[in-house]
Amino acid sequence: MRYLIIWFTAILLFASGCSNYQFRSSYRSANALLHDMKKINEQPFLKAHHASGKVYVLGQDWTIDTLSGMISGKGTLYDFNRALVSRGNQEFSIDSILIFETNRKIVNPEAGRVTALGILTGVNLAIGVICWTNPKACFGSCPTFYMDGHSNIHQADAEGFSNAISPSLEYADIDALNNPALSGSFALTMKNEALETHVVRQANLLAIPRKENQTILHSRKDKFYSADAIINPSVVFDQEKDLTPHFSHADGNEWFSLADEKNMSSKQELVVEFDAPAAAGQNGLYIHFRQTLMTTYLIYSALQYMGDEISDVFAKIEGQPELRKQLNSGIHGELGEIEVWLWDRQNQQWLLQGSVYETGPIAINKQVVPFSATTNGKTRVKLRLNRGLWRIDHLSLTTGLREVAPIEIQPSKVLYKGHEDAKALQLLTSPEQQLLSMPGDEFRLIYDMPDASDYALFLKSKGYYIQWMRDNWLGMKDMRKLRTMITQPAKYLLNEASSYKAYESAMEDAFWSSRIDTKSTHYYEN
Amino acid sequence: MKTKLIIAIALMALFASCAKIPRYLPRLENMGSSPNGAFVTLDQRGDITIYGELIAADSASVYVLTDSDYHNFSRCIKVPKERIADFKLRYAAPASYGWSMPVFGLLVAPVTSGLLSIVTIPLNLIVTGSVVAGSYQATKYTAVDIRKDDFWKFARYPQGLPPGTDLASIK
Repeated sequence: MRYLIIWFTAILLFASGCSNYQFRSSYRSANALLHDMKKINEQPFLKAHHASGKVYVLGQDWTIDTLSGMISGKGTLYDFNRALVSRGNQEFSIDSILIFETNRKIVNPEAGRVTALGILTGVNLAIGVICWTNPKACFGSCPTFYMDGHSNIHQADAEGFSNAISPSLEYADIDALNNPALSGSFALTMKNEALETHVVRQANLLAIPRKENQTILHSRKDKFYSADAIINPSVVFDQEKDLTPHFSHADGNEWFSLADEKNMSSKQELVVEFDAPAAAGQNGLYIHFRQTLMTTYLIYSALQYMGDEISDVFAKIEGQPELRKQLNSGIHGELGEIEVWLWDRQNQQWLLQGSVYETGPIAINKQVVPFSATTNGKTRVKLRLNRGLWRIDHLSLTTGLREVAPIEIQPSKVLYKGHEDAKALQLLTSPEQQLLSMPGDEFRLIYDMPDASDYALFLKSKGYYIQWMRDNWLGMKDMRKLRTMITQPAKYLLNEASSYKAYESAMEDAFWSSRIDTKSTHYYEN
Repeated sequence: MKTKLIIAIALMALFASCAKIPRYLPRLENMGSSPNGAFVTLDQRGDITIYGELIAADSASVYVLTDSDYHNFSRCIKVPKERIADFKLRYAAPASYGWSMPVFGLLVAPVTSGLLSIVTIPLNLIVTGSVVAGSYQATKYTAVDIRKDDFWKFARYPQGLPPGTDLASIK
């Protein structure tokens, strides 16, 4: 955003750089004109004003013959009232002229303003390209949830059901809210910040009583655990370097890698060590993570490939469970999840413990992978993940894990634009009904907690969303690529690598440079 | 407040782009070959504002062929310099950029920027408004740029009215 404003300011300088041109010189005698010949050479037009009021306008090739006292050249003669008298060769006596006027030809007088509009066009096109390649940065996301109703999209506390892009793909998504200590009630704002129709069946809270210094964790399998303590890693490294500073604290200093330029599904490994042993059932790896924009790119690419056949394709998805299964497992299966492996010192082998996964580049997810094996001495963990797909903020070893059960709480009140909306509440709390949320909609959901104790809260959102097609997508239809994407995802990710790389850095820059000031991008704040 | 400011800038620039420009005024690049005088706006003390072609100027008076688009009549009149409180002198027609405001502000920015258009629409309108206003200002002199005594340089007859001229004969 800062760069955007700098660009526009620079353009403004071009645009407003108006100048009053000094183009005219006047001479009351031929003598004065002759003495200024050097300047005249730079001011090729000559207007000779006759005593009678008529005027000769001569072009660049006019000459003065001082011997004969005549001026001649190609040009035009106008009468007293500026009616055209003759055009072509003109010749007249110096003595008949009272005033000579020379005018420098102004070259490219509008250069500054044309440049400004040219740059403006370029900047708009660049923004267009960035928005096209990075739609979530410009067009928002699936439902976003905020504890602070005024936060912007980069500070969303949760994003709901990112994978559910058609009715049959509806699912319930659980996100940790990492709420501060509670006392009685809780509120969440649900926004539609995208060119999408959101169909929300549920936006419930899962609440787990929380004691002081106790952490409540959520796993990929939607189980919940309480943990006594969290131990930061002593060292994190990949094949090339020490990455410990990125992972040692939950401070937003995320680690991420760039995609492989030859294959989007290429994998990499990180090794994490903790100065403590791990026991099966008691310890686990706690990961704060989210996705880069790779998945966004792939979802939007798929929609573009569908072009004007998008409704036919979605009808097939709805009617053909096998196709749905392919869609769910294809690209996802190739890209994989963040796998957690534990080093078994005794048998000198890595043991797979589980994985974490959540679609979406906006909200940071926090999931734990409980260990099913025990280690002696230091704990060594390996993460295996797709290159360029993940951003990780923090890794820690949890101790004293105990599975706990949540209480599910429905909203007790819904506010729409500050007013209570009983209909929206009814839709959100009836399992058979759904709340429709259109672009720019914002609902404040109020929840009554069972008592005044403190609870760790998780959002359970269920529904699906329909992307709105953009005009510029219609021209990018490519059903063959779509088929490859669905039926041969490995081949697709191999072929698409170079195209993705071309946009990857621009996408990341655009997304993160708009981090500070995106508050002004919401529809409702206009 | 921000919205009102942007609307005000846009309206001002649109107003500027729609202002009547006399046909005889040349484009800036053709200034050297135009036989007519500049278009002047003379604010008179205690009298109407005069709009028209600058015909001639001498030490005491300015002669203006009034523009029928602004007045109900078109004739050459003499205006004493001392009565001129303020003036504007347009020596060329400004390039027209009025189109750029709706095109960039209302078409290009929303299509290319999505939600970012909340930022880019105002910025586009400000830039294009400045282009329009800058263009309008570029071919105009005011009392800040020249003195009334320099009027003759921009008159149809810089040499002064031809001797024996009947003002009514000037068209």
